[in-house]
Amino acid sequence: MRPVDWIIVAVYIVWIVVDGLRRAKGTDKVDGYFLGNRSLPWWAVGLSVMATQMSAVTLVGTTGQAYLTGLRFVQFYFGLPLAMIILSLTVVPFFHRAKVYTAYEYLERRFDVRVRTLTSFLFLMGRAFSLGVTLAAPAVVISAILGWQLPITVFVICVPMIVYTSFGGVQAVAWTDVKQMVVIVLGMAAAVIVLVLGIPHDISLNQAFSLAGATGRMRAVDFRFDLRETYTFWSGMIGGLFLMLAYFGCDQSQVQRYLTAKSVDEARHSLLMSAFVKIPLQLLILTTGVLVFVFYLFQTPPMLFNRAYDAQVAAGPRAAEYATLERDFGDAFAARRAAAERNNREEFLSSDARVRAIRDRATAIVKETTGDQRYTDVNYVFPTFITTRMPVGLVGLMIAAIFSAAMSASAGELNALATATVIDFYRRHFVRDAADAHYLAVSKLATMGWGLFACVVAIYAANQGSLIEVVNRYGSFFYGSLLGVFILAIVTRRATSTGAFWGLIAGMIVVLVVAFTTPIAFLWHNLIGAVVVVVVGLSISAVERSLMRAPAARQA
Amino acid sequence: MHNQDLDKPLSGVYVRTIVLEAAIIVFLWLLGRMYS
Repeated sequence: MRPVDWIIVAVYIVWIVVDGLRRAKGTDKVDGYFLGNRSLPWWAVGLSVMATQMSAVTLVGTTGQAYLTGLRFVQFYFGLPLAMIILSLTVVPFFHRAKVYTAYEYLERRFDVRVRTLTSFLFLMGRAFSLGVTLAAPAVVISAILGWQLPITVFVICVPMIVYTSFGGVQAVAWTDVKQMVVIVLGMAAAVIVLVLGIPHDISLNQAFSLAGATGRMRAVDFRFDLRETYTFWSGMIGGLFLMLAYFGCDQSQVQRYLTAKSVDEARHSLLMSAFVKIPLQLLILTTGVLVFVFYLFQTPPMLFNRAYDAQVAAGPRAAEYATLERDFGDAFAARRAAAERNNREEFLSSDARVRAIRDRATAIVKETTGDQRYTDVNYVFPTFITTRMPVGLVGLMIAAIFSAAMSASAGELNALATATVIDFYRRHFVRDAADAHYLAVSKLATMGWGLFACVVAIYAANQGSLIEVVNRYGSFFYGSLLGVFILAIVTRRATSTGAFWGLIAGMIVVLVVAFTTPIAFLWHNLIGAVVVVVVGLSISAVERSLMRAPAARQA
Repeated sequence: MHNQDLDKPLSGVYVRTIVLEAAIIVFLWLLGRMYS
């Protein structure tokens, strides 16, 4: 990082905070603070929806994933457009006309306070910890590439985000999201241009993609039906559909985005914007990862991109073996480059397999020496490319884009946590008839409180790999079940509150058992959870109604 | 079903969304075949 890059990053952070604070106007009431007085245009809401979903891990992790395995991750999003259409026709008009602040508030009107409180509590627990993880994952990577201490990185991401979210409310979140999305897209477009220009002039783009395709990286669609495979056409279309329905329809961090829209139709358009743009945007990010792979066919890559343990390995018992591997890697890379330049497919594939085998052995040495069994370099591929290969100025823009992604995803979640805390718990259970100014002050305090909590979780979680996994899996334990409750609420009149409450608990237990005892891939958990909640919920409701009818019949 | 909006016929934008997605999936499948 040169001084110019630091200046760009610093200017970006100051600009975002100042702009966020300017948006604090009109947020002197709870309605303005949490819903922006329902005044935002569809395109701003749409960009905010996408920014909240796109975390820094999406940016660096997805490119790294594409570097290693190619475009297949795009299938994860295949269910999204259909989910957006279904949501536009169902929950969007329901939530808007009900004039609710949270999705769970609607459940009290339909069922009872038990269902509302349980669903909101599940959301708070899941989101509060996942917010910490959303911050921890990029903070670890940024710390490694910039050489900062982890708490400093967390502080640099969190403090500006907490400041503009606390004082500016949802309007600050939405309008900074818009700008952050622009920064992210500009950054990715710049990276693609640098990558394409970095490919040797005698190698055409068609030839470059052929090389990537020879290794299977251009195979985006897999029509095999295999429940154990994480990313296939079917897991994306069916499991992904239920995940997206649950995420965009039942998760307050997303629902609150489109509740800020001017009207039902504007809210619908904001979701349909994601339906149109999300898959092409993910393809841009994945293609960037594939282009990084092609770039490093001709430019020497490091043997492993995550160099955090270099010193420890060099001082370890297998240092000599590691050094030999580095030399072998250089030879294998040279052979692969020569084969790629000659366009000799057989030689290219065999030398690529040799490169991969050497990387695997090096990874095994790092794991054995350090004891870190979760060691991987997926998240370090793209940041390494940025800091070592991009021109001055663009490095700053890309680091700003990573900060943007980290802040925009976290700010929406933070804002939603404060909303659920104040509306579903504080105002519902503790202080019911206070003045608007009181709730506004409590909302700001709740935002700051959750922000500080997330910082602490981020610093702690960064060193707890297994904790990150638990938190990531927590979402899949309850998302499908939550969706089941909303299906019971919206699609049928037959469901009772007792049915919905116990159906939700049954759904979560079944998903937990399935997750820990079967090899079924996580995208399917959402479908299983939703189906169990609906079946159990309707069964209990039917029994309850028949029990209520029996005494009535006897009396008659 | 007690949501009146569910009774509305699919408007053009919903159809366009589905057509676009189908086109993207076919494009990606062809891309994979072309470069495999």
